[in-house]
Amino acid sequence: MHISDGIIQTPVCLAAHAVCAAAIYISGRNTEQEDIPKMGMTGAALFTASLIHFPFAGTSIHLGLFGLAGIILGRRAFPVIYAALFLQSLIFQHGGLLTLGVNALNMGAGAWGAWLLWRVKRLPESLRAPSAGFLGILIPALLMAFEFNFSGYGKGIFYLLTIYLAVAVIESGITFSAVRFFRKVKADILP
Amino acid sequence: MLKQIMLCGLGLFLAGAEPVQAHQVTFKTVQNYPAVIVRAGYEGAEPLSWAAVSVFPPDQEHSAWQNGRADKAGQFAFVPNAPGFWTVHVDDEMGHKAKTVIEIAESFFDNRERSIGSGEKDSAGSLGTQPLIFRLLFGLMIIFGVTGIAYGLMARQSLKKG
Repeated sequence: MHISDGIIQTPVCLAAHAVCAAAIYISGRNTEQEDIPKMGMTGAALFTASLIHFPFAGTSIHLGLFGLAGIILGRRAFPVIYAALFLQSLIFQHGGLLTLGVNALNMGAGAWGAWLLWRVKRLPESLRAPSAGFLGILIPALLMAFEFNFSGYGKGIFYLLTIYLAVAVIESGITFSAVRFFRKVKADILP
Repeated sequence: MLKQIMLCGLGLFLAGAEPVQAHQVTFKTVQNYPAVIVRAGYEGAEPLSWAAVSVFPPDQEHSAWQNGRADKAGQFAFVPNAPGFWTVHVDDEMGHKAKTVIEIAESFFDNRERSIGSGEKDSAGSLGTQPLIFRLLFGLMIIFGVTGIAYGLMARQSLKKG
């Protein structure tokens, strides 16, 4: 899911960085003191999640936890995702620095989609939590597939979506379990 | 007599001209673990610039280990993974093809430990060469460090306001 340098055209990457700067400002302003530990812990979880790999369909898939980040942090998930991706790019070479903006927008959109779904309070929590986890992966995967397609890689990349559907199912289970755990242990972490 | 002289002259001409017209290909090989460097040239030292190259591992004549092109100087390299007789085909796509067989001895791999060791030593300062657990801890240290600094700064601001 981390797009490497050289795939997306440079002007698009630079534009994505500019959009990211605006998104970080909007989502990060007026951050409260009590948000900081949550952001730090979620950032550490996101940073580590990409190292948890599962062999699947001849390739290797890994967790993202963008849905869970969206549930816990709301709009503040974006700067945390950006920071986690920046460190993953520098330390693990997951994704490029030039495409960091594109990757952050893809995955941030997943977190924001999950957050918006989580806010629909009339739905039961047992439905909202796994759906948010599912959306948190599906939205970035769809965006990535479209970006690859527009960059001239053909429609074959859409077949990868079937693999990400499996990741989304796994993530929905993990998100549901995490929400249930937080509800029992520390309910105030969930908005 | 004239006919004999003409035939001798023609024979000498053909004998002298043959290597030039055939462009016999010569190979020079340098084996330096982990790579084998090959230079392909026409006889007379002209290189086979940008020739198509295929490298075949021992006992696999139909499954190429590597396909590519030589550089301007007719040079290319490959990294064998086993001892044996490796076959290299070159084709300048102008009608000149040649193949050579390169013997990779067991002793070629004797330098493996030393080469890998020196490689790690050269790039010891690079984070990418560190074990995964160190890189993970390094990243987590940065995240928790930044979180702590941000929390401390905000707590200080709150104290000042309070």
